[in-house]
Amino acid sequence: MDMHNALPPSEHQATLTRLLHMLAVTEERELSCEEVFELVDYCAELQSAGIAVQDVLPAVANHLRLCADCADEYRALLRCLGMAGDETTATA
Amino acid sequence: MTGERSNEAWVADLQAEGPRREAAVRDLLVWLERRLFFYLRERSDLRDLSEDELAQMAADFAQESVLIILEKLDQFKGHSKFTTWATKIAVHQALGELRRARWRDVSLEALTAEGQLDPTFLLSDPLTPEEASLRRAVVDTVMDVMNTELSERQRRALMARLVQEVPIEVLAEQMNTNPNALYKLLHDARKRLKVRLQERGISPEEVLATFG
Repeated sequence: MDMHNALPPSEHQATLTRLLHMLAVTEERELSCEEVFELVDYCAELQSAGIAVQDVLPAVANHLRLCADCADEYRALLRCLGMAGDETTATA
Repeated sequence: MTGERSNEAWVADLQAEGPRREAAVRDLLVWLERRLFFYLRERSDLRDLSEDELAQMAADFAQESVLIILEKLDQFKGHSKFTTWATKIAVHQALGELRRARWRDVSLEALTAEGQLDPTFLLSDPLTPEEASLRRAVVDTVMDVMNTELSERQRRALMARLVQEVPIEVLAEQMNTNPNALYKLLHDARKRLKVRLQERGISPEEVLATFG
């Protein structure tokens, strides 16, 4: 199959970089979006208390680095609750 | 009002009958609407909307969210403040709708158009021979695994997420699956790619360092 046409050349490096960022934090066991959703309200309050999510629930922090949708929702939750901080950055 | 209620009071008031319940629903609606409005106003993709339109959007999202919250009331375990839990549900509802609206008219074919890394882009950067060799090995490994070890669904889903950053729930719907199953499909693909790179002595972090 000819797959080269579907991807503009300028996107190749960005795509590879995104993939490598994802692979760097890929773990054997990861939480699903649903499992993370159950925990993000608790995480937001931890963070507002100055406690790093990474220290208490590293699997949640890891998922937020991997999943752009969950990371967006977490950032939005923090904003809605008046918390400016954000310790996570999704890579894809 | 919201600041005066404990978690237990919120649940009890929302489960009550008559004016007590109505007051709690009203307070929750106001709480969510206000927070969603301020959040929506900050979003760059909604900058063209007027304050009235944003307020209406916030009101609609809050209204829908309250219905969901009332349905899920028995699932509140008290691990956070009730209002934090309720806001989480409202944010999920609002962002889900915004994502679906943004991708509504994009076809399955466009969402999951196949693609792969073209190694010629590696020639555009001034690299040391070692860096060029490392990147080339990564691209070769990734392409090899994608073409020979991943299923077509894994390949399409991975590229849709990587290239177009298609939201997982949108992609899941288009691929006739659910977000959890799709996440697992992608997780398996990432694990396979990582293992194959590791077998060749390549760490993602090491390669990322060559991108500066």
